[in-house]
Amino acid sequence: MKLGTVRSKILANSALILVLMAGASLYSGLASLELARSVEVLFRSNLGMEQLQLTLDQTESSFSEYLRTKSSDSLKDFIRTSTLLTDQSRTLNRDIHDDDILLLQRDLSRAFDTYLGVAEGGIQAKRGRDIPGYAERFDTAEKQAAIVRLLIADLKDRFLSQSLQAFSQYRQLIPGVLWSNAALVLAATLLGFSLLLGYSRSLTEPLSRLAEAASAVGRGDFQTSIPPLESNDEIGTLARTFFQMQESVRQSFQDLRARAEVERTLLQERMRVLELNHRLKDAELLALQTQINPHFLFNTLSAGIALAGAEEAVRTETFLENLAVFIRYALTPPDRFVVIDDEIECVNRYIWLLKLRFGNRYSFDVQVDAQILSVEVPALILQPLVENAVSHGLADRESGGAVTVRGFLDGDWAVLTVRDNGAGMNAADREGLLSETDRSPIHGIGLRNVIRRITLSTNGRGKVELVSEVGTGLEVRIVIPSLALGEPV
Amino acid sequence: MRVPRFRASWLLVMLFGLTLGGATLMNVVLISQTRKALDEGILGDKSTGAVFRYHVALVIPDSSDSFFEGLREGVAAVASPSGVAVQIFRYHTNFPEEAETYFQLCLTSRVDGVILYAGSDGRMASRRTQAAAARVIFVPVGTESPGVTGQGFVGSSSLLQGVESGNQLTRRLGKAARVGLLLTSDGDEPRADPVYQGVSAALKSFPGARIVRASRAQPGILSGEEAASEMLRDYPSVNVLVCASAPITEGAAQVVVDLGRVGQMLIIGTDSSPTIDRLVDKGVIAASIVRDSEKMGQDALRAFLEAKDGVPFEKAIEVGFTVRSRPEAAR
Repeated sequence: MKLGTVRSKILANSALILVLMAGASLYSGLASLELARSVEVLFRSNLGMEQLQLTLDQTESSFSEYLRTKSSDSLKDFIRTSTLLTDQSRTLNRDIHDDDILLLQRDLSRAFDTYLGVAEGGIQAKRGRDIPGYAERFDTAEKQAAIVRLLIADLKDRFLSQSLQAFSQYRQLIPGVLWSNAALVLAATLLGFSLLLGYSRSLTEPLSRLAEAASAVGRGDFQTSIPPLESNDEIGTLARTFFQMQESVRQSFQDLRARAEVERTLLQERMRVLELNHRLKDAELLALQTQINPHFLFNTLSAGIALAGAEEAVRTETFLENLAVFIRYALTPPDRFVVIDDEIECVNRYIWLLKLRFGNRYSFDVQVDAQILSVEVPALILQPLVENAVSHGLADRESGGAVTVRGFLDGDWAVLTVRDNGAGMNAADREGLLSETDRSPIHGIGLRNVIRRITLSTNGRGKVELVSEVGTGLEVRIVIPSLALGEPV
Repeated sequence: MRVPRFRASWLLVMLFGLTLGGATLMNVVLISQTRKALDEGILGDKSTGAVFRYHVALVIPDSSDSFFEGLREGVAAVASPSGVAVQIFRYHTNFPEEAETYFQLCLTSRVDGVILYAGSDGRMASRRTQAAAARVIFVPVGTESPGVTGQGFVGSSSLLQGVESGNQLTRRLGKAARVGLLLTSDGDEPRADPVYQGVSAALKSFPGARIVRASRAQPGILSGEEAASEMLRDYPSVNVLVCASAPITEGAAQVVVDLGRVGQMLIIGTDSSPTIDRLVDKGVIAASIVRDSEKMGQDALRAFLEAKDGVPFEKAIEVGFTVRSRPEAAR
């Protein structure tokens, strides 16, 4: 097993606590055994005295039995018990020490010797049929046995007295021993618990810190730093790996953020370009419209009408009024929509003005179906075409020039045509007029203006067609949806 | 360098570690004290201690009389430096036959010597014979020498004690002395008691002074009180109490104090004890004849040692007495 791993730490900690608890329990148990052994030893001496007295009784009994019966069994018993008594008495002290009990033991051991000597003398006297001899020795032995019993009793009393005295002191100390044993076990338990607490904290705290850092990362906070862990175990490895991962993720997010910033800048730039384009188109539309709206003329004409009225020049006044109405119509905003009826009225006033200028040089015919009069179209789309027909198509004709304006419904489409019987136009010129890039002065900017406005106002659905052959005149054909007009571009 | 943080859990580890160490240390100390208590008692192996040369038995009454305590101390004072282990047998004062039993025990056990205080029981000669047969040195101690030539004895003569008591009381009361004599329980006819004879001899020089009554106190710690109360109740003419032992002296003094007759009743006591000494100093007891029991014990053991060295113990040794009385300046 590798050292320094979490598993080895847990095992070492558990082993330490187990050893601690086992040691405390073992010591407590041994201490209790020691106490129990002390109590057992306490009364062992009294047991020894009891055995001595029992053997003495048996010896005395066999001795008197032999003297009474002279049986071999009693003699064997006497020999056996007296031998046993001798052996037992040899366990007693025989030296002279300055101690009451040891001196009593010496008294007892020597009294046994004396008694056994007298008894054996009695046995010999009995076997020698010396009746007075064994009778005297029997009496002496009886007295000595009484003295031996007295000594045994005295020793037992002293043993018991000393035992009780010792036990009294012992008993006074026992509660302290038991309490200290309990305190020992309790302290060992609490120490083990504290060790467990300390080790578990040292093991789990890095994990908690890692968890906090992971939570912070989960919330998107990549700035939370992890305190460095110097341990070489799995937790240390995990912490270092997590730190590297955190750094990597943080770097990736920084890269993504920078890329998003670039894309946002690009998008803003594209929007700005689109806005510029939009404004450019508006500017172009405004510029085109501005070219055909001579405001100053309207104001001047208003003054002329007043002057003609004052001078009673009726024809001049009518001319100026028609011209003013026409100019007022032309000064309306370029993004305004009007109905075809308004456009026809504007064309008729313009034709009146042309007739005033050219007399009968040109003829004009305007016929429009009532079905399309209410169709909305961009303002000023017919007048520039009539102006182009006169200015360009019929410019070379001194007479017989004719301009025809027609309006009719073709399915869902409203069709407006302006036709002249002038020089006509070849295909290349027609293509050039319809091209966005064409900037040729033929038919001027009026036709392109109309074409662009039609295109813009119908979102590309409306169209302007040129029908012509060289020498057969030119027809400008405007086709617009009859229902979808007026929708903003 | 990173400094490790100090954690509360490690503080607990230190705290409980110290507690564990303290509890273990306390447990070890208590266990050792327990073993020591047992070792000093029944479990102690004293057989490995010093071995003495001789084994001497001292047989004395089981009495609170300071005389016997002095006797024991005297024996012990000489015994220990001389390599003699002294074994003490105390017989009951009510059963003096126990003294004979212990004497026989000593012979059966064949001790080296027996110092016996047995009073005047008339068995001294036979004991000498038995002891000699058992090769045990017998040193009788007591108050009355047998007065037989060639028989060793260490004693303090009661006759001389009585004479001195008579001298002390006649010195104070002269012819006016009316003596109540309180004798010890061991003995028969009071008039045959040596103390009685000694006092009587001392009074002969003072005509008119006389022993009104002599009685024996019964055994027991209150014997002096009983005997003195009866004496003072039954014989009101008694103006001096002569007490033959320390317990009788203490009891008689207590009765005189209780009756409020201090200064009226003269007490001549025997021997010395802290109580007697205090009462002497207070003037309750006029004087105490102190037998030198300690010297008696010393001389007895020396006689034993000399006998072991081959010097026959055949002489009577009189240890004498001293008089303890209130200093003149204090009266």
